[in-house]
Amino acid sequence: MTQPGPDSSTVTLAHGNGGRLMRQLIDAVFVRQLGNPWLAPLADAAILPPFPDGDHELVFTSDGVTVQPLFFAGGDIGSLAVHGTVNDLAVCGATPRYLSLNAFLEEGLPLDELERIVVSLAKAARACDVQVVAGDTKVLPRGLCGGLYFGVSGIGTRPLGLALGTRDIRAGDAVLVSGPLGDHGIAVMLAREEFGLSGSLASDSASVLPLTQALLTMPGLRFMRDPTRGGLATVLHEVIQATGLGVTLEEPRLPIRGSVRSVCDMLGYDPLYLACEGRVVAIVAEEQADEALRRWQALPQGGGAQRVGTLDPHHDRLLLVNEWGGERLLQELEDDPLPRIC
Amino acid sequence: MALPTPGEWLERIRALPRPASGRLRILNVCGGHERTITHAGLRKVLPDYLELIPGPGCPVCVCPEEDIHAAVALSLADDVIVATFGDMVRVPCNAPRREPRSLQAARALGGRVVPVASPGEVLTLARQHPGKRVVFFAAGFETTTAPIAALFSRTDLPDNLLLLLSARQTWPAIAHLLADGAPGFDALIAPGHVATIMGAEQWRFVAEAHGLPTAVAGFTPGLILAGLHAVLRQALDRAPRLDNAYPQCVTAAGNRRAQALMGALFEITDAEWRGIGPLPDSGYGCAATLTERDARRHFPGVFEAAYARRGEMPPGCDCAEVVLGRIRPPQCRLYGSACRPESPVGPCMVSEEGACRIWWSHGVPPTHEASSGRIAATPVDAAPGETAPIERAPDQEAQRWVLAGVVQGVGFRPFVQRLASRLELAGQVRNSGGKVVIEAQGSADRLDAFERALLAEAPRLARPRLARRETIPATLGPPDAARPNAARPFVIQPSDGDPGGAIQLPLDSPVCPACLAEIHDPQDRHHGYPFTHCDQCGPRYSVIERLPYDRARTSLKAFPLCPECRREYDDPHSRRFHAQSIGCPQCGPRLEFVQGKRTLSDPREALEAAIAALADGRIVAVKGVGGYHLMADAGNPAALATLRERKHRPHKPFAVMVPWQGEDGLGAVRRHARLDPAAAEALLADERPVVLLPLRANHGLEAGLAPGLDEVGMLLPYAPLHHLLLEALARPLVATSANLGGEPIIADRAMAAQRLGRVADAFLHHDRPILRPVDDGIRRPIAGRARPLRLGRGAAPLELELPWRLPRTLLAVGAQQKSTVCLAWEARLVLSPHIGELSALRTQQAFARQIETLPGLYGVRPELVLHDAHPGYHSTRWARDSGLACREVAHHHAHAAALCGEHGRFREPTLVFTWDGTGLGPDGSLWGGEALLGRPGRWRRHASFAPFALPGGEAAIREPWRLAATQGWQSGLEGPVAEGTDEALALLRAAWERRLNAPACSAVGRLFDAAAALLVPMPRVSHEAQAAMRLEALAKGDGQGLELPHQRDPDGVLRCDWRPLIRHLHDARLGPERRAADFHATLVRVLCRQAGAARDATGVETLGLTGGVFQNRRLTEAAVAALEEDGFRVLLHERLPCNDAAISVGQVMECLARLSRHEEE
Repeated sequence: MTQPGPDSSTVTLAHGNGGRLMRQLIDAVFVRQLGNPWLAPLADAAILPPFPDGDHELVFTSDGVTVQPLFFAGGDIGSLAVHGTVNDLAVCGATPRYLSLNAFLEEGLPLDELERIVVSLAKAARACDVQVVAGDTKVLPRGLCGGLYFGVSGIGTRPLGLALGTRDIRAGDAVLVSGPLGDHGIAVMLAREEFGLSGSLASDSASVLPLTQALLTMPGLRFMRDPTRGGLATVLHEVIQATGLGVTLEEPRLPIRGSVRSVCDMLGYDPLYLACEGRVVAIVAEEQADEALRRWQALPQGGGAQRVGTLDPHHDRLLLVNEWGGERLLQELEDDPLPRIC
Repeated sequence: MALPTPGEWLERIRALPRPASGRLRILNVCGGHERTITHAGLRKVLPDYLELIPGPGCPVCVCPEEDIHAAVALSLADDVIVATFGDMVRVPCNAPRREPRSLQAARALGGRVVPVASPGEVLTLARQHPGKRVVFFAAGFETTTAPIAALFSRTDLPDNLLLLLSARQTWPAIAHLLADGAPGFDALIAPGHVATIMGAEQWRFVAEAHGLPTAVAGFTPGLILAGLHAVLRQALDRAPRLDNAYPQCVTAAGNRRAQALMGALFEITDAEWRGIGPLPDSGYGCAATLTERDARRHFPGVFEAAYARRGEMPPGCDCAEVVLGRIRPPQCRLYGSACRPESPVGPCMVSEEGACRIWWSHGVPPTHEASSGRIAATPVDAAPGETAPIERAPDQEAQRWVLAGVVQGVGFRPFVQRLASRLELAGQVRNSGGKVVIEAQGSADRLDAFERALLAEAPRLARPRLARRETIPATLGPPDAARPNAARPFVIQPSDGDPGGAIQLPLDSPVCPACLAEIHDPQDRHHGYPFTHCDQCGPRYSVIERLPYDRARTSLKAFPLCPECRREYDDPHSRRFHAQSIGCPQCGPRLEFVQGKRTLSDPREALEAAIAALADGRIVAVKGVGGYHLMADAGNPAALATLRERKHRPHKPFAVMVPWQGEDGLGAVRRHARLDPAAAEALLADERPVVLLPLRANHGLEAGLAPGLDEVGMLLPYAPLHHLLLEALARPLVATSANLGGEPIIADRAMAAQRLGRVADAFLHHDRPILRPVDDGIRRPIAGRARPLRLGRGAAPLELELPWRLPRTLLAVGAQQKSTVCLAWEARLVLSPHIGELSALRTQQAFARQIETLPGLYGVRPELVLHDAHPGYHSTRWARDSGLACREVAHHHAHAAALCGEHGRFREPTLVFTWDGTGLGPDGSLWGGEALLGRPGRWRRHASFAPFALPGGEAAIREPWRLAATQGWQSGLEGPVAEGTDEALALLRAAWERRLNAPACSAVGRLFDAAAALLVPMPRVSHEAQAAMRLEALAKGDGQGLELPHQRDPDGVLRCDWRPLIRHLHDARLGPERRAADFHATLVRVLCRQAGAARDATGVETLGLTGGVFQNRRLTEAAVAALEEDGFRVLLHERLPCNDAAISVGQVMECLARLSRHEEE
């Protein structure tokens, strides 16, 4: 055989053949960083302990995690994999418990990069108090997966009887966001394009569990969502679709960092459509809006929380009103927005 | 026994007395009869009380268009030969101009069409061409149908012989004429040839069921005279019966063998008659035994397509009326002008048996009113079978006119009433189905004078068109001998019913001089009253709730007339006779002034308070005709600054309403601006638009009205309220539409209070609701005409006539900015007023309202929606969500089609420069510098500009300095190529190099942006076209044009390389004014270069300029001059704006061309 031998510093196809190399990789990278009593046996499935009481229900989610580049200011694909799944559970009112992790590795991925990612992933999991209890590793030929991606599933529990969703949303309800919008989208974009001016801009990638837990016990909480792909505007369009009500946003109240705004202006992006990875959009009854805001603002992640808008029965669109009453409609995201000005 | 000679018959007829009814109108039903009558000159030699009327006598003429469409299509099919009788070859159908419009035209295109003289020839043809299917296209009455039956009853026919049967029975057409109770004739000579086959008895029903004298007649002059003699005798005897005046050939029962043959092969069906519609039991179809020879079954696709065109008639063609005997050939609008035997429009001018052809070849000129040529109808109230004629006075005649066009809501009925009174005519006038129907009785010369005056003296706002004229019985009796001068009534009847889609909307009109004089007259009860109107002025469209236009259907229904006004309303001699928008201080709308918590409900106090507030520098929202204006003293810089700040409108020019001064009202305008005749005419037109006028050197107006520009938009007062305000203040007022940026004009009191609370210091309301908000129009004098930039009050809805009828009702939803919608059906197109910029919610709501209400007004329902190609336009999304069938029209194709459509150019090739900001091209890139060659429905991109990036998409348009920078980089310049911070430039450069969110574009409008930003500091524009307007205003002198290099791209599109121009603009040795002028001059050279290349390649001589870029007066005027110098004919818009407001019209024009080409479906 004249094939080049396994390179000890990068992932090779041989790492995916199920043999010794694969076992070594799993042990050296994944188990070492993520090890816990349920993962340790490396069995085909994880056997989980029973829940202590009968007044909780299971919440289960699944997520694919891709990002380019793999590392960016404020995070990397490892932390993102944990936060993305944890946040999906959290906004459903759940406390995340267990994750599974499928790693798809590209031939040629430097092993030290892989290790940095898994270290970051493990750190994020510890911070969120979740365990990775099952996993799988595949290696794909060069060029097929941009270095690395993850498939992540998560299980959480939440108290029985929570009624979160669009069904209970009413005209007049308040729309809250937990912090500045667009940070993640801009940070990743700047990293991807190597603009080299990301100094002041970092992804907001973080667990939103403290934010969601803070509101869970509050009456009048209708709906929570983490505004990832498509940003705040896309979440609110989903709400509009589901409820038939309009949403009127007040532009002056929108928390957007100056640095994000100026980059957006320059590149022609709208921060309301950019992804966040550590924010929550909540819809609460009007009379509870102040209380919800107070609870969020008391948390480190919620310092920038704002009430940004209202469910409006007078129209069925997403309407942005500026400081002097001028109105702009925010349309559903285009695949590739083209200028409409003629 | 020898038959009498024609001379002898004539003697016998002359020997008979005149019938008691005064005259006898005799219909013939046979082209052969009409030929003989006309060519033998029988009308001249017969007594003048005999009127000979040509009727449905020609099978070719009544052959429906769909059959001709089908035959044309079949002739072009590979394996088909169409055989038909000679006349049929030339009968035109209303095909789109690029398609063959007759079998003859099809033959010129390679279609196989063989004219035959007898059915036997068809058999020979089929045997000679065994490899082809020979379709016998057979139109005929019974006489012809019999030999067709004989042919197809043969058993030795080859398999390739098929039949397209378009045969008709004659009697159902006569039954149809008789059925409507007013047949328009008193006697019938029945067709001899038909009767030889079908028997004379077939016609007995005319005499016995309908009581009309009837005779079957032959075809020589003598035989026809015999028939005429017979019916005249019957009339004199008051004994209608059936005479057989052609016993030589005709028997009572006819040719039973032929009838049996026809019965075996054909079945009686309902059938279409061209222009008339379906008549029951009037046609022959192939019976079951003939199914396998029925061309309709062999080519179902062809017939389906052809039937989709059922009922289409060439626009203006009155053949149907001629065929039914309702008008004479010369009364057709096209007779002898557009329609002649060598280029016939309608079938009656083609066939040797068609009345028009017969009359024309006999030398009857157009508009000639043959003495016996007027048609008359029997009284509508006469019971069927009643023959006793009503006594008529010989000197009294009566006529009925039907007038179409703009005739409702413009004081037309009162005008008719006054005119009739002046001429002492009796009768009535009424609105009916969007038209006005007038019946008048009097002496012939008075009736003639009346008709002339109807059109010549019509009210100012009316645009009447004579749709029909007919003679009716003079039923009112002679003037009373005892009281010869006694006035007989001429009355205005109430409108009947729903006008359907035929209505033309009346438009809002400025106060007339007579009303203005009353407002100024201290003795008049209208003194100082701001809602004084009459039938010649006042609100129309803006107050219409639904049609027809009557007070009860307008927002004035809330104001019952006081006795004084009611008296004027009822007085036929008053200007307010049946004028719907009148009122006075007692009963009409009232003003109210609101400032903060202070409300003044006394109208005079309210007006005075508003005047005082304006004098004091306040901003007052004033409710006018189509909406609110924000008004302020145009000479008060502080007021202007406040208004700009509150409206968040830092730069966009404000329109100024200038006092009406001097003899022609333009005195004050002239003090500020230079006025050419076109601009003066536009200012004074009923539209009273804002006209952009070049300022005089010492114009004396505030610079803040139009910062950086040397033009100001001015308008004259149009509502009485404006006159009162401006007279009191005696100075120009800013009069800008009351809205917040990009939103529709505010027309509702609650909305005004809600939306303008932070803008206006005070409100001058009135309580006449505005049901249809409409902005002021805007015009700019360019190349000798005041061309519209926006169609507003008094000009919109705009109606255009289409060159042919649409098969379906279209709704075109236009573009995104300068949104308009367009409704088109039949041969009509109606363009909505300006709606606005569709990114605002309220504009979208106004857009939805317009779409909802416009079709309702006209009583039509859209079946196909046309929209732009841009997926992000609200209009496109609306269309795709509408649930209706949709068609996409590329933005610049629509631009080009709008221009060609406006000029009626659907066939000839035109090179149209469509230069604008950006629009989505068919290739998915952003266009806007395109030269399109072709015609509506078929465009080829001839030339364009080298593409460039729009860094940041829309952001590049809002901040032109970005384009200045990237264009500079693309032109090879380095260093500080534009304003901007280092950080911003670095980011921009990085984004530009990576093509991040930077779509490719070839739009000239964006070149203007870049150039303007290079020459004038311009960090951010606040309104559309701001950069281009600044650049135009900056340019001084003629400028020197650069010759820019051009290259063909791989698709063969000639691309202008604009980079030398950008480098030239960086040449600081030249002043910015000069460089701006050079920029314009260079674009003119680009136009000439690209036009020249197109002419060299294709010979095209006619050019068009459209797209928002050509709102630029400097560019357009220089371009027209240079292109005309080069020998081109240059088309510009005259009735439509050249900007995106015309897109909806273009969508219709494009679709009109495509639909008629069968490219769709």
